[in-house]
Amino acid sequence: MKILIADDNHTDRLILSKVLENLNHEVIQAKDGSEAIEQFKKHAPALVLLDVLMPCYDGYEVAEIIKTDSGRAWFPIIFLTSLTEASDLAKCISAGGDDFVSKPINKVIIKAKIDAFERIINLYDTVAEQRERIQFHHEHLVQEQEAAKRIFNNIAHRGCLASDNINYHLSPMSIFNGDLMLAAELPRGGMRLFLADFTGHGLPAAIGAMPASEIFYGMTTKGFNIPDMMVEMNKRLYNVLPRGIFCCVIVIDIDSIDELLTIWNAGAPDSFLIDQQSGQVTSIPSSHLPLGIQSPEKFKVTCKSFEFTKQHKIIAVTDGIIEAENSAGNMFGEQKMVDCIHANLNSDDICGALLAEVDLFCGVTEQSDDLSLLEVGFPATNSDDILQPSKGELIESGTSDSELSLKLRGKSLGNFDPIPLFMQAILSCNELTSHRARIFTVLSELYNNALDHGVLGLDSAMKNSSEGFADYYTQRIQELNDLDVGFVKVSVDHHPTANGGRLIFNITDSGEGFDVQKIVKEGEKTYSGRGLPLLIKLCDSVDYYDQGTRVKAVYNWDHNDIPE
Amino acid sequence: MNKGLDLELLNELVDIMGDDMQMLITSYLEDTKEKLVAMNLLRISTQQDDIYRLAHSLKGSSRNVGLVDFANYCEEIEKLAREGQLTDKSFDLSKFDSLFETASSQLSQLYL
Repeated sequence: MKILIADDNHTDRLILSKVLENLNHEVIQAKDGSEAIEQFKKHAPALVLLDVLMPCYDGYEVAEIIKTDSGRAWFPIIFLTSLTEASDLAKCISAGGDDFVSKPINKVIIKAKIDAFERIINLYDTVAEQRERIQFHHEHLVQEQEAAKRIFNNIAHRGCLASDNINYHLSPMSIFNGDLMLAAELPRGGMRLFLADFTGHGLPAAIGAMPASEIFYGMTTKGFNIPDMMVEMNKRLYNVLPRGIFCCVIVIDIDSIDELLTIWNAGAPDSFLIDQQSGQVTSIPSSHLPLGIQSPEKFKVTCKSFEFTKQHKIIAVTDGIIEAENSAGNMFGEQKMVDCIHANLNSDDICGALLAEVDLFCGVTEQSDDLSLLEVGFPATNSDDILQPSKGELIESGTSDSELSLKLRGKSLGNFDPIPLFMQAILSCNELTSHRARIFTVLSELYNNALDHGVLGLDSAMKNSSEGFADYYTQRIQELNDLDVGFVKVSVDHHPTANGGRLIFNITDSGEGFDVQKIVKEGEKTYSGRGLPLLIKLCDSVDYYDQGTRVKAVYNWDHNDIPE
Repeated sequence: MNKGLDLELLNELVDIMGDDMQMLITSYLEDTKEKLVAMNLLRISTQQDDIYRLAHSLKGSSRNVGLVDFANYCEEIEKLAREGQLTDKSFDLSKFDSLFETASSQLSQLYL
């Protein structure tokens, strides 16, 4: 250890140096206060032994300067003194000394003190080094979190959460609480919403957000239905997520054309469907294990469907709100949430009312950081606006001259949704990008009509009452599950024309057919038959053959005729 | 024979200093002689603080080399001077000299 001795007495310095050198320390000597300060700066010793009475700065003054200049939180100073008064010794400590050694010098005592200080210095150095390392890691962690947040925000962006029909609450650092909220417009209008809560905190909880949002936006744009999307998401999360981390999910489709809400709740708290006119509040409890638990082979998604119009709202939450605690350690709980929803049924901002209630309950403890709340009304977007094609690139490409057909039989009708497959093939012709919503609507209406009314023989008149509406979709799911006969054949023929192209859809089903004229007429009066008039509006022609078991729809497009 | 000297301490000092013992003693003797000359020039009336410092310094180094009686007298003077209580009667310069003479000649005999 490098030790500085400051003593004006030559004899004392000689003896002390010798004692320390015999103990294998490196000794630097100073004969007065100013030399002590000079030598201290020059040699940066680990320990200083200071005589109290010295010319030019006494020991007390030197101690003060060294303590300030050392740049360390702690620098060890031992006073050498032949003073014996208790008050003199006390002054050594109050002046910043850490200990004192009485003269005459006793080598045993010197050795014991120096050894003790060496242990403290080593301990201090270790602590300082570890502190530095912790600080480095902490800064590194903050930087990483910031970087991760930016990456996550790009991938797990909010989509169309800013729409007028949505109120939501989500902390900016929610991704590290494991909460994820996404929204995207559906290809045929309406929107899909997604609220997820990964178990745990920090980066492990955020890992799953990347594949989840990638799949959400990718598959939603391509027109995949909720079951197909959730099967894919579960498969990915099952493979990606570490043991013990899983994901509670609520996913909601709002179909603004059919005024239909489709919801799947896997492990999240109840969602609430509110009818603002009747005041009815319907709980939609979890019907499935969270994602990432079940192997893909065992995983099966069954959604619930409800009528959803301008008078409806849906509220979805993660468990943060229910588990919000006040200072007494009591939880907010589900009952308070339900009561608050009932008390604010007709509010424009039920989400805000709930947050205010939670803050009131929790008192000073700021809880809203862990809460994720989503409130969605009927999408305000006019379906006619969505169905207008927008400007697109005018390059001849892809499948502009092609025919694709697919026949689904029996069980496959219930197991496979062919729409995304056809859409992907059709949209390989880049010029059709701007027609995506229109084509998607035409194809899905045609296919669903063939399946629902043709193969399954469901009566759309059922949908005229709220109860019938729910029954209709329950029955549809049931029958699709049981289906082992029947077929739907879809064929899409794309021909180039002088200024664009012509898409010819041919859909044939194994059903009994129907009275076309009657449905078209009723469609104008009742809301359930709306699909057909919409088809007629979008297509250049819609014709039924073979007693309504085959439909041919023609959709012409022209790249000189793209409305603003 | 060893009046005024702490032989036990000196033996230990030999142990510490080894070959440098002679150098230490020489250095001490020269240093002390100088300080005693300086002490002779100080005035009780105006320089009690300087007397205090010098006596303190002499006490420290002398005690380290085992000059017990001399160091004790230095301490006596140091205390009085610190309080400003030193008088012509208590400040006996010849006592300094004689105590130092006795001890230092023994010291020279032993180590030089």
